[in-house]
Amino acid sequence: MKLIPRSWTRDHHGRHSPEPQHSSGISRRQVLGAAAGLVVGAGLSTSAGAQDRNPHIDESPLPIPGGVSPFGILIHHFPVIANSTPLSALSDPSQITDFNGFVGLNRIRGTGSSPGGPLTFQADMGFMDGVYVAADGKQYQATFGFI
Amino acid sequence: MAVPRKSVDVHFGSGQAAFQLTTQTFDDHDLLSSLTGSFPAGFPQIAEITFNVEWSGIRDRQHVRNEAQNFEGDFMQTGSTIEWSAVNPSSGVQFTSEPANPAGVVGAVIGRERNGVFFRS
Repeated sequence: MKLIPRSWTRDHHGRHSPEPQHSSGISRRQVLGAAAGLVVGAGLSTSAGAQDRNPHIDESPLPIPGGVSPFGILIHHFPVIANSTPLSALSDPSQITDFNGFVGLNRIRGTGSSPGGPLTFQADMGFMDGVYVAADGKQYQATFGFI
Repeated sequence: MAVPRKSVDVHFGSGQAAFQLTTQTFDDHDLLSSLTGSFPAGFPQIAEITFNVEWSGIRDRQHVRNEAQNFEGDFMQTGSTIEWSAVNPSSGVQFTSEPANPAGVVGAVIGRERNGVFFRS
């Protein structure tokens, strides 16, 4: 699992500063949601671990086919729509496919404190709780977090 | 990532859900490093995070069927809050968010859905 340290990026003086800009000119805020998908993608590829012991068992869930592509990198995740957008425009809030269950997804902005001073953050968080068909073609029940 | 079942609590009928967890994770230094897997020297580092995310307060509900993305389900737009903290022992970085603030939500959805093979079946 990887946490995107949303407000931990240091400036060129080594200090921690909120909401810095990438050299590409795209703000972290603009791509944070997409980046979170990578978190899950990485998690999926290393989850379950059982396959290390038995080549016929691989409980790893499979990612949804689509997603967004920040910096040209496909992330199997669609950021949640804003609450001002009609629900009919919703993209799949699940990051795994062949899934049947409960999902939750959000995007929240806020502030916080650190020893270096106040910081801002944006968090895209979610869960998937239900049954899924895994990489080995078998059906499992599990809970997954999107962090 | 797989998480303990007890970390997620859903009361779908009332439009409420919670996701709470304390776990170790990686501090990748910055977003671009996470995306590319190319890290500055010394990274990634181990960090510990604790969070409590809640969804509540139904704002809209609808059955959504999206054949292009092979999913359908009953969804609700809700309010949502988060409280979280993190510490990186290696760097000494610490962060504690403000208390749960309903005004911070940009978007939030909970749903009961099926996709992929379950969508077609």
